Amino acid sequence: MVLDQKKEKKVGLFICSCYDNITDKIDFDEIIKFAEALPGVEVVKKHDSLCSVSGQKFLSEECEKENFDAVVVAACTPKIYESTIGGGVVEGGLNKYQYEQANIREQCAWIHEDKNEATQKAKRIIAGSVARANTLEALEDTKVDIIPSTLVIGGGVAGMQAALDIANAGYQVYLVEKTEKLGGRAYELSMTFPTHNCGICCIQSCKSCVLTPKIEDVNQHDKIEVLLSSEVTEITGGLGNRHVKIKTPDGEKEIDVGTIIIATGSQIFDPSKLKEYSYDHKNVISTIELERMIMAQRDKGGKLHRPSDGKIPKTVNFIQCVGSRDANKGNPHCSLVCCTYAIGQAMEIKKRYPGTEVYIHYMDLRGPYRGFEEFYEEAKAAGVNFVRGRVGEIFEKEGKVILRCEDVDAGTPLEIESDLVVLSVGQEARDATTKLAETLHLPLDIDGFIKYMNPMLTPEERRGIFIAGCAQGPKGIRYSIEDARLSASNAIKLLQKGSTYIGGGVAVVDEEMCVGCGKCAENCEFNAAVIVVKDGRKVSHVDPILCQGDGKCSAGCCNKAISIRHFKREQILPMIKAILEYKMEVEG
Amino acid sequence: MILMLLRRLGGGRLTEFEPKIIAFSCNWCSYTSADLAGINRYKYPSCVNIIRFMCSGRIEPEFIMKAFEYGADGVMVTGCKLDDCHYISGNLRAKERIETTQQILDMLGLGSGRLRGEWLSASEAEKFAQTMNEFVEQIKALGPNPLGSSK
Ligand code: FES
Repeated sequence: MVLDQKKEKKVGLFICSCYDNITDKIDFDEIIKFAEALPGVEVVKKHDSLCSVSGQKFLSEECEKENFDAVVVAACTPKIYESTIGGGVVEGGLNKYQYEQANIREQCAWIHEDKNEATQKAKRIIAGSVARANTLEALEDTKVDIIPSTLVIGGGVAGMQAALDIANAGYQVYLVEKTEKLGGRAYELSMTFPTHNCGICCIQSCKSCVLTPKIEDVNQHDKIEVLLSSEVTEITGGLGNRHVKIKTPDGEKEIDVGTIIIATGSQIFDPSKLKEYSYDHKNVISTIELERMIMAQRDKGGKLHRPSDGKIPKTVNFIQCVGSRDANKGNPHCSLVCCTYAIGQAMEIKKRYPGTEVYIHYMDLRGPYRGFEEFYEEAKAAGVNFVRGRVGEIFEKEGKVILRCEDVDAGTPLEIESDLVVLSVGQEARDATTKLAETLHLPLDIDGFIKYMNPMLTPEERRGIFIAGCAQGPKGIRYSIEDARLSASNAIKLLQKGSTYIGGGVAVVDEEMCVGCGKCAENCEFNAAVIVVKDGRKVSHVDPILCQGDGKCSAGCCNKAISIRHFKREQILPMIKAILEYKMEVEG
Repeated sequence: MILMLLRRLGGGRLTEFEPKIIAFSCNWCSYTSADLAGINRYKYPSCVNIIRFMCSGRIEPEFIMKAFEYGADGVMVTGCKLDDCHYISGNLRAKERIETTQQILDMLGLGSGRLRGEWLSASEAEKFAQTMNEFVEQIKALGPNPLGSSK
């Protein structure tokens, strides 16, 4: 086997039996004999558990003793223990990029029945990894300082909670809210699940809860600067150091922040999009309007009057899934909160006017929360009628609102007259959030919300940007707040570090080769590659802090002028070659 | 090369043909689905060799062509689900590049069927194994890479 090698390297190979998990299927004696002959390999040793403390100690001692240029560990998948086992190698004095893990467990021993087959494949994998190890180079991670402040976008419950948590941890917070007041939608609600009490019961315990103190907590906190009627217009920079421009009523404000929390929330589906529901009729209202009516009545006393003539409605019909679970005219997703709030409102009406008939028309009831079942039973006991079936049409006949619907369980089509119709509108992604996601290079999900990040990702992998509340999908108040606290604690974790490191596996430009065509800049979603003029020539320039190391730029470069450290051509091709050539020898 | 081609196609070689497959897999989803296949002991032929990249967007047509030059009979590129790349759109770029490379393979007479892209979520271990099984069968039907291992 010939390998493209410039200078002799000294490679150490350590194979892990994983307490027979691997040796059951792979003949280690054969592997050792084979590996000893591989180019560059000077030491081959076996261990029973390299991920254990003793395993790492063994590795670090070996590395210190032998002074390797690179180390290959053939063991489990690098996705689980790369940093653990690699930690031993780093302990022993190597750079972490001079470490390569060959996956002979998940992708070999555990797949192939036949011991000989598995052993042959393990050899190929190891040959490939050794060939790669021979090309690895030490890399420096880039240190970045984290500016000790946070930008929170959105002043609803999620944004306020995140702002409070971060400010209480001692960091400066800028809370930007588009409207002229804090509180968001939660503060417009009269009651929430499960206590069926005031709209912010989950923020403070019910007994002491009045609406204002929470907002006052935010307003009066000396670490929080609240910017009302303001909008973020531009964000530049990367992890730990972002420059933000904000349009405020007093002109433009510029700030530098270390982390960002997006709490822009969701918006309510506009029911006038569904012509068949006659939302333009006075007595057809949305649940949000009903909330306002209940609130107004609470504040000012009086009764629940229907809009057309002020009469107290004798029949009220709730229509569920308005704009939700409807791929044709609305949103395909379930809005999660509507069943619960409609039941709450139905009970409220029943409580005040026991003589009023209340119907809820639903497809299926969804309340994936603790206590929902009891809530539902309570509503049934209070006399709320649940009718399964979609409402086809709402129209006016002789001055009356008529519902054409169906009772699926009874199998009968119905036409009901209703004094008041309430449309249970769902939550959908906010346009402003979509724009923000674009600025910050955050992917969206199929419903247009910001995509959920895998919870396993570190704050650094999230690039210091955290999402809270409904910007990430429909959520109840309590869950938005939990979300906000989690995001805040992630942000605090990063802020507390003060500085962090960004991996060295980033793009690198060969300025000689680069002709400044701009293809890489076009391919880069993170604005990391830009074209600059240097010595009178256009060349590409990469910001290592913005670069995510994915390599779209490199694969698209016609001149091979841009490459990704740790995944350079010279580091990939020998690996491919070694794997394929090994097979030749066997055949030959 | 013609001689080698004849040699490879002739005699009893065909019946014992065991293809050489290289799979380029992205770190975030598809490599994980391969790991999960191992954890669940879903079987696929041992001739599949996986090389890990951070993102399928890094995979250059040159890597694929070189793999064929070095004697691969089939090349599989796996990435995250198409709207789910960890780096937003790497797999979309990869998809375009695969399609162009397939055209080149057709032009060279190697056949576009020797190259395939597959987009898998981290949990689709069974699909990973199934895809590999299918692909190996497909390559077996196509026969050995006529370029053989020229080096
Ligand atoms: S990370 Fe999987 S395709 Fe980009």
